[in-house]
Amino acid sequence: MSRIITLTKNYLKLIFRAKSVIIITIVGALVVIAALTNVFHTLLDQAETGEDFTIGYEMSEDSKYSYAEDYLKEGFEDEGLTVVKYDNADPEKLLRDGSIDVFIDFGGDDYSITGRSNAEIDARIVQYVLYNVDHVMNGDTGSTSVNTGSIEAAEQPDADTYYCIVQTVYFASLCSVFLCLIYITERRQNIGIRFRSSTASGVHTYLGKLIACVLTTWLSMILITGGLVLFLFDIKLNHPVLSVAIMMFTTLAFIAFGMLFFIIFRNTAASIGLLFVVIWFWGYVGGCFETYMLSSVSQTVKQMSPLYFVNRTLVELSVNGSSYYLMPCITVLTLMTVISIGLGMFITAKKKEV
Amino acid sequence: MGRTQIKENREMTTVVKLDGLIKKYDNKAVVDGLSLEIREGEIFGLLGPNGAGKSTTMNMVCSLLKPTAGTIEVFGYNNRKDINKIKPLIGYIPQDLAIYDNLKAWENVELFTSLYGIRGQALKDAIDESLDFVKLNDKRNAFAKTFSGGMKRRLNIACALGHHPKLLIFDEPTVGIDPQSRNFILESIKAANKKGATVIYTSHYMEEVEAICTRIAIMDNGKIIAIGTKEELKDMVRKDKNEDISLEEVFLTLTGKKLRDYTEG
Repeated sequence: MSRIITLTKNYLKLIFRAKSVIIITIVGALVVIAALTNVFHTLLDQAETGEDFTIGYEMSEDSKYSYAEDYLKEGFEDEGLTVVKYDNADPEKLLRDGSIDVFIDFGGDDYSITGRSNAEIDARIVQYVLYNVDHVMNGDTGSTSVNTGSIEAAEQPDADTYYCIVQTVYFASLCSVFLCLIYITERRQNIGIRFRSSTASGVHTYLGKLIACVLTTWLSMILITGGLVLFLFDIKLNHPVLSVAIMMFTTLAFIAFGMLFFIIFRNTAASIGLLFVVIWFWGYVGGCFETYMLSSVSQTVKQMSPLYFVNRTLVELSVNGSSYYLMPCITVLTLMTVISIGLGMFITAKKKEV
Repeated sequence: MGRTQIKENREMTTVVKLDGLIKKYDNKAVVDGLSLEIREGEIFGLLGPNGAGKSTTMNMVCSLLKPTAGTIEVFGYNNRKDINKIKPLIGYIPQDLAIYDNLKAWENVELFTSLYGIRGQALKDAIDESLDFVKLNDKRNAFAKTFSGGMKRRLNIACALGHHPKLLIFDEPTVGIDPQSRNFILESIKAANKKGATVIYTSHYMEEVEAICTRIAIMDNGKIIAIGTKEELKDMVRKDKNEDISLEEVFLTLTGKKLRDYTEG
């Protein structure tokens, strides 16, 4: 244990003596967050206005409205609404994941309208259009049974909240770059031979690097950058402790994952390049640049990215106070951490000749 | 580890015993059936042209490389079974500098000494002693990156002394430094030996080996081709008893004058 503490202290010294890298990382994150927030402000605000929303519907074969389906669609589209027909749909799921704003289930003689709890205006427009159509078709709307309901669905975050959260996570996940400071120094200065000839084991040096890098990232990215972002952009976290804990866990998982690259490849430049490509891809499909709500990337591809689970959980926790993605997120991060640390230690021990 | 146990193991006064040592890379033997004993209190010189297998042998003694075959005993301990007992007994000074440029002199010594489990006042004393030994105590707070080549070499030595090893292995410690620093390092090696450390010294500089080593082995093609005191080695190639001959001439006679182009790996 004392050797791990000694090595951690040493690596922390080496990282903090490269002040420029830490400052550039913090400032870089703030600049990117400010830029993305600004650029996507209009886009996200538009998505929130309710001027254009999507209606999903399902029509039973014996519905008295089936012969008027085209007329109904036309009516909705004239109101500027997007209409999507479903068969055997799960309206709750569609509403929760934001695919649609309102769902209409046309039965034999009735219809039911279900809207997201935050899309009341949308639901009323739908109800108004249907009332008019019903009136034209049947004359007496009193004979039609209408059910209305709402689903607690995800609130849409504003650009400030969204990008402040996801970019802090993204930059924290890129902080395995601090590892390159350690590995470049050690390889260039031939330090490995001292470690191998001493009584410190490969596990000691592995854990020393991991802990130092994780602590640095927690301090610089989670506390300093995250703190500055919350303060400057006035972001409110519904569950600050849980949100910070998830960010810290994400850091641990990504640094353990990043270390694998440095352990497997002797070439530090190759390690950094590959690591950046992988994290950039995960960031791209996971909503770090284009929001996961408006992204055209399929759900299957999104779920290939651990960052999708983290981003979605943190954003939903912040906006709604809860997230269905919390458990999947913790599961993904736990798997990533356990596999990366296990493999990292195994390879480190194997590479040590004796 | 108990001191008594070390003493018991030293009864034979053999510090290093190599028996039938082989190291192969891609079926090519770099060290080929090497057998050798180094006794306590010696300054043992290991000479050989590039690629002779000196560094590979030393790396195996330090447990940095695994032998393909053969046994290594250090202070009576088998280096496969008792690796953690052997490591604290050895101070290895590698040919390439192995120090952190971004750490101060004392921080370098502190780090590499504490890797052997030394703590507290003992650690502070070890740092002082090591830096004093290489005359760098007045520069203890300077970063290694500000040091000259000779000072870095001295710091490289200090980093291997903090845990008070009984066996010091110097792998070409005077490469690329000025004569003053070289002289200082050679004097330091003799001083460490007088304090009780056994020394293994590899070098290409014949005059250094001649000046400090009590016994010398010449290696070539992974084997020892001659071993003895410098006078015994000279006698091997002298044509008559009064012939004045240098160690370099002995070396060239035994290993040949052909250039040795050597690539690692």
